[in-house]
Amino acid sequence: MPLFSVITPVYNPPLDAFESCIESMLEQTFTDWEWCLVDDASPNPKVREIMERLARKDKRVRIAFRQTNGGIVAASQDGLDIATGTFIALLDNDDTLHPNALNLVSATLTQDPTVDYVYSDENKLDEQGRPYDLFRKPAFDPIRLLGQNYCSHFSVIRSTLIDEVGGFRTGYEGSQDYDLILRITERARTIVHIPEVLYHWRAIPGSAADQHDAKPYALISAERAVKDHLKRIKIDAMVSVSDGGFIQVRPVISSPPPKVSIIIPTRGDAQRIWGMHTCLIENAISSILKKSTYPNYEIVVVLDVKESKPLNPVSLPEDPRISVVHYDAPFNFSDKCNVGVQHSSGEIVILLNDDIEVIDADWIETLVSMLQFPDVAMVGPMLLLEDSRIQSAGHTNIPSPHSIGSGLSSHQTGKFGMFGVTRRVSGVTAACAAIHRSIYEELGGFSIDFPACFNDLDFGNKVLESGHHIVWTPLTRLFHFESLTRDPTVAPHEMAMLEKRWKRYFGREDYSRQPA
Amino acid sequence: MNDMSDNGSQIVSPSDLRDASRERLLAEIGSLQHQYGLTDAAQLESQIVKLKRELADSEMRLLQARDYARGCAAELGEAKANFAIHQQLADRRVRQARRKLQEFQSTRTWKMGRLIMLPARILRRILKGG
Repeated sequence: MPLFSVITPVYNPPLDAFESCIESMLEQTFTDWEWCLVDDASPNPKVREIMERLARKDKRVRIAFRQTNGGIVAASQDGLDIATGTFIALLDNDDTLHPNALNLVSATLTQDPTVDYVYSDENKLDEQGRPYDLFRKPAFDPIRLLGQNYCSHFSVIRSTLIDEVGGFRTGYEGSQDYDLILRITERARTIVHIPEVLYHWRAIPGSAADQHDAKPYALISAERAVKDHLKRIKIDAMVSVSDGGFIQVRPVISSPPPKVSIIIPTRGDAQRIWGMHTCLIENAISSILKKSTYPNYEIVVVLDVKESKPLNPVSLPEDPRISVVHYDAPFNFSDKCNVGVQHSSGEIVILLNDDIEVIDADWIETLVSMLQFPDVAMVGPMLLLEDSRIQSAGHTNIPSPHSIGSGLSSHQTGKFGMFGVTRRVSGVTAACAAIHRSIYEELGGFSIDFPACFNDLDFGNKVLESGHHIVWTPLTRLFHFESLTRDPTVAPHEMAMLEKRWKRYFGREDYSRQPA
Repeated sequence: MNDMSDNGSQIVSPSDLRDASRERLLAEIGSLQHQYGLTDAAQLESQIVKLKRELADSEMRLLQARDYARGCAAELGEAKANFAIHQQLADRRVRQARRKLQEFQSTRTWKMGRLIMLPARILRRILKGG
């Protein structure tokens, strides 16, 4: 019984691409494999010829021919039926593997016998065979997997687990592998990402690698696969497809909706926004009150005062949902957030800068909804600059902690859907972040050792270190007129403090940590 | 109607009973006010405000203590990670030094030297034994 059975459904591939695929299999440095090729009644007789020649040449190659064209699911399932390996690897008939692909997967499997599913990085090859679109994937992220099949190729799955879930399913054509991966990841004991490019997609006009909307039927199947998956893992959610071709999942908020406390620290500064001299806190509160549809929220404004008088004149509307807390200590953003949280009573806290303006009416609903995902402690939205470029799409630690996407266009979904899918991140900016109050308090809130900068990075690390997750979502957007209110210089002691606590995570996208 | 005794005073009607209960209640309130140094409602209110402030301060200190604990754990993690790196480096240097020593000891020069020094070593051993 070989370690790997590589399954390849074959249907009328371009012959040169098919030859490259064969070559890449025969060049594997690891030799304990079998290759199960199933021809799905290709009209081109040369395909059969090539397959038969290959089977004669190498005894590890097993071939089958379908009498009638049954589609990719039927052909893939036929491949599974003749496979005898301990692990099943999926390879398309026009794609190629890196010569060390099976070798590296085998080494990974040897290290941990509980590994049930392995996936790797991938890139694409153009018609001339030149590589492009290198996709460096994150560690396993079940939330991102709801939005797109980012695991995709190269996928290697324990065969007993495939049997357990019933293999490929008809009715999911075009997204049959996505559906399989969703069902596999629900049950897999250990999932490993190999951060090496082991798979090369061939971009042929009309293929899925070439464009996202090439197979709209695949998107419909994907939506159904995600709905089924959510039902199985018992998450009640609204599912839809975005214009960018991603699945959008919004977990249903429990009823009655939890109380949300919006904490806004402010000095009452005024700046030029939309060409007008504007008091930031007044503008932020006005946009919240005018646009927000969430039924149960309060706003706590933490206002800097000197000798009981505001530093700047602020006029807030008379509204029972608004309360003002005076803060007369020296400036400390973290402390002001903590004071605000202390004076609030919501189960969920949204930290908001005063230089924010709400865009979407359902912004609170969206943030609260994302907190319904298991183990998610903190959520951040897409933040836009005044000119609609991205201000922050979450934080990354690579190469060092910084905001993702700053200055890029918000009208595109970014590389590999970076700005189009809800996903786990290393952190989100405190300019707008929703957090469970219980977790905020458990973690000691924002550290007063970071009075101006990095308080959100530090808090994010505390969240991750405690075994919780942080999610960024593009499903709601707010304007963030960044740094209008504060000195952009970074205090060296704050950087030193951040390094003293978390430097070991710099350069690593380690957003799924085991609690210490 | 039954006569009832309450601290020696005579209760002859239900209104007397009410008065007696009221007096006892007032006496208890007076005793509590005396115990906590509260003589009027305004003082009581200021005491509540003070206690609330103390509670808020304690909550804030608790929050900061939790952050301090998390910070210490993070610094410990950082120290452990640094220690592991330095240990790996030290192990590597020791391995390299051992390898160099082995290489040196396997050279002809070293072996010749040992052979030349053999009589001296034997003599030293004999002298030590004597």
